[in-house]
Amino acid sequence: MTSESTVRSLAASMVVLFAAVAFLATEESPAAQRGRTGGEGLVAEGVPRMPNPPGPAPKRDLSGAWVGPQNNKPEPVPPMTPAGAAAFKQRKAYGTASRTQGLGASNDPFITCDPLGFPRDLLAHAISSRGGTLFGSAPNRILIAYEQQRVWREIWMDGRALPKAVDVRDAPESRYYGYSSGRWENDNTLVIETTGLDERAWLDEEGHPKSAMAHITERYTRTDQYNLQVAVTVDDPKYYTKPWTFMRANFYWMKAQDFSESLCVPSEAIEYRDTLSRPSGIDAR
Amino acid sequence: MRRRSFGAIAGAATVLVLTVLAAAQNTQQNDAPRSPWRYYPADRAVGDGGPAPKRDLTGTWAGPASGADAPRSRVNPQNPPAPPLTPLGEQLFGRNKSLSKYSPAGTNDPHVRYCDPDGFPKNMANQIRGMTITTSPNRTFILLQYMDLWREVWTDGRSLPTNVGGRGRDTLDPKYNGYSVGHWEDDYTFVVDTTGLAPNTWATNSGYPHSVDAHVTERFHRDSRNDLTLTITMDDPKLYTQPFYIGDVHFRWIPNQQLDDYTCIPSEVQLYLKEMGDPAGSDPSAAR
Repeated sequence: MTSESTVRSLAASMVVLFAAVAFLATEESPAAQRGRTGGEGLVAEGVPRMPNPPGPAPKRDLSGAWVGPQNNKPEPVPPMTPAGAAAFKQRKAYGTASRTQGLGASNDPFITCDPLGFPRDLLAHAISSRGGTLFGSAPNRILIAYEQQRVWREIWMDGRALPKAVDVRDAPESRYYGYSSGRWENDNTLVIETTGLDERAWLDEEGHPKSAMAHITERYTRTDQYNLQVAVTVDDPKYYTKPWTFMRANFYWMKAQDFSESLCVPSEAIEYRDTLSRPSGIDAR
Repeated sequence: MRRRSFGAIAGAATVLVLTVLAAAQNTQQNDAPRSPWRYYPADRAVGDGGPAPKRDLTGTWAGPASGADAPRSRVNPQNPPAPPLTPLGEQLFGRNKSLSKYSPAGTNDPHVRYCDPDGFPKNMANQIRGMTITTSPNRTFILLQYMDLWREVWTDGRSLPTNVGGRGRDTLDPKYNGYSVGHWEDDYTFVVDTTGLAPNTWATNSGYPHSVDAHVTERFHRDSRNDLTLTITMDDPKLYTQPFYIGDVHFRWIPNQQLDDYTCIPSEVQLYLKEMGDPAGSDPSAAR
């Protein structure tokens, strides 16, 4: 199979699989989990379970490539504020649109491959069906790179405070992956705080909104050599009545440490939206 | 006011505008409070900073489109002079309508029209505002500011694949960023070899093509603590009669190591083309 055909099939299958996988990303049945692991000895598609029992976690070190998130068990989204409910009402989620009017009726920004943004990108493994996250480092920073869309974030470890505002004079601009500071809570737990997010990106596939000054906390705990647990909380009083656990999942060490190239290609996604996915007679836009 | 990111649609004009804006900001920013979260083009590294550290490129670098006054390219890799093309090369080149020649309405550059991935090596020159380089025990990572994209370069001694894009069970798929391996040629020069490129991407903004089997060599030379020079050469005998020197890109060390975000957003580009870029009544799919 050529890359071009792979890309085309990925782009096409992305939109078809998206709705299904999106729901898998939030709560999987045991059968679904078994299906995604791809058989005995594999923790995910193409990713074998490590041959030896895990040793102890190295101290203050998450570096390397991890597959996941797996077995995500988030809390339900709490009641929204009136502003949150109004914003949510404008969203036409992918899954609902596909089942009713057709894909083109959705206004999910990812339909055209707009950036997923943070923290939605943490959930996304629609294309590869397995996902992947890589931790690296640079001066004063931890870098996190994602398989999905090959995007990356930087986490400042120099103790700086998060921006108190964005998009006002002398403040930084909001951005898709926000501004992040991190610290080691103990030798095995990295805590990352993020804010300053671009509101155009959705919080999740259902279209829940997030405000620019939402405060998102990721807590990564390396429980042993091969397992990394993550809990993500969202605190966004503009849109939600209380904080909640947006994600609680596990990442597993990737033996090959290698990712596929999972890219959403806009021209193909747009062509798909405007042609194949559209029932005749319905205006996609 | 928050900057909208239309990506490559503004092309070279954006570079010029940014340069002018940066110059204007130099004065405005002098007395403004500094945020550790912002990139200030005026806050530049001074001089060469002394000798380059050995075998070390790690950190964040400002590129020519950053407004940080990085030295200009001797050969602009966005629009370099190409060696004679083969007949197939001529045929492919003739299909590509660049932004600089055909404007937003007439170009069929997939990145300009749709924000499709530039692919390598075009993404090392187009909108190259900045990059971060980091290493792990067996890889070097090149993380580009534009499009928030990362590439990986294996440094574990593996060979480049020779079976990309063919038929058969063991062939590999071409990739937008190809397959890359790297080694230190000397204490200051890191050489990256790449092949297996997705053939639907362009090698340069001007529309020169590449084949899947093109062999691209990047040489990252750290001239001093504050200066890094990248040169790019492509050997693609299917399409060119001689190796193609694509050009050079110069980077400067960023003192606060902070870059602003800049990305091409497909839905905004579609809106721009519909409302401003394309002539009224035209069919946008015609440029696909």
